[in-house]
Amino acid sequence: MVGQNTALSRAEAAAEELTWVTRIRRGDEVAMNLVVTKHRQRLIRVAANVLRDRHEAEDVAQEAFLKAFREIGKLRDDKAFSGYLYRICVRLCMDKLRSRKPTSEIIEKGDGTTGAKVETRILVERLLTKLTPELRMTLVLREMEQLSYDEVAEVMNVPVGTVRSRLHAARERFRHIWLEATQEAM
Amino acid sequence: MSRKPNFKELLSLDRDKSFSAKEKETLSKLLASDNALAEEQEEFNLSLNFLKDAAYDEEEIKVDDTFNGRVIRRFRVEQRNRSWSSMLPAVVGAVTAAVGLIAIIQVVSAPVTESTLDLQNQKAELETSEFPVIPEFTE
Repeated sequence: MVGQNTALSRAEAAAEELTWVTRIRRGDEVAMNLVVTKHRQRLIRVAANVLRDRHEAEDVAQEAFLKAFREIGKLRDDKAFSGYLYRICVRLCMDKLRSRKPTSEIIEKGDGTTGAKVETRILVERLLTKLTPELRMTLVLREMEQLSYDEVAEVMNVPVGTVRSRLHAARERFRHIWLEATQEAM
Repeated sequence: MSRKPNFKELLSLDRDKSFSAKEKETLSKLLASDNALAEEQEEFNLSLNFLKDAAYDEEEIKVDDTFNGRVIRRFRVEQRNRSWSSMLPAVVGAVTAAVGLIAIIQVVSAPVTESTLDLQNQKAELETSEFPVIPEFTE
């Protein structure tokens, strides 16, 4: 019964979003506002996971919404809007990563007062800078966003085989640099 | 026929639970026979769990109340700029045509003057004199 209700509410939500997308095509700003409210947390979250900078993540999320609305004519199937928006966000994140200048990384030890999670994030941010944008994105989408191989392939617009080999390379590289960092910290 | 995955690739497949039964058996045998490999597997999973722990949850993403307004406002400004840009060639064309029309009207409606040049005589002078002759204007 609970499962049925969940499925029904999901179907209702999907139908509701479909009407919003139709209205957005006509430039309806009220519909745009509803779509932004629905998707903003998810977009900011994925951008934050990739870029490791909350402020930059908000900027990218804004850009993603603008691009999605501006180019709504390119969307062939209104039901696929959510995936289309997510893909735009991921690709904007890739552009940001590629445009970043390489920085010399310094592994900072936490001072014990900032909290374990914050320290983990600081270290992860440093380690991820040592990966190429493509490996970093593949690793984040699989490990943090929990996307399937097919979903990663679709979002990054590469074959599944490429995702597999990149993921393998990214995981191995990450293990290596994580070991170096944790051994230095001791 | 695809090549057999190596040990590190098996670790990756194990993490994603995309094993065949044969691959699972191969990995189990390898781990049972070699402590160094078992240690590598542990490091592999520890490092990736460390990465996963650094993920942001949706619940901790607090969005500013002004976020939506900023998006809509920027979209509105972009649309306005875009319509000005698309109108610009037509506006420039219209202004050019108007300027051209005004110029033609001015030329056509200008008063006619009676000044003439005695060209024939001046031409004879030019052929015979050593010095250049400045033609005289007679009115």
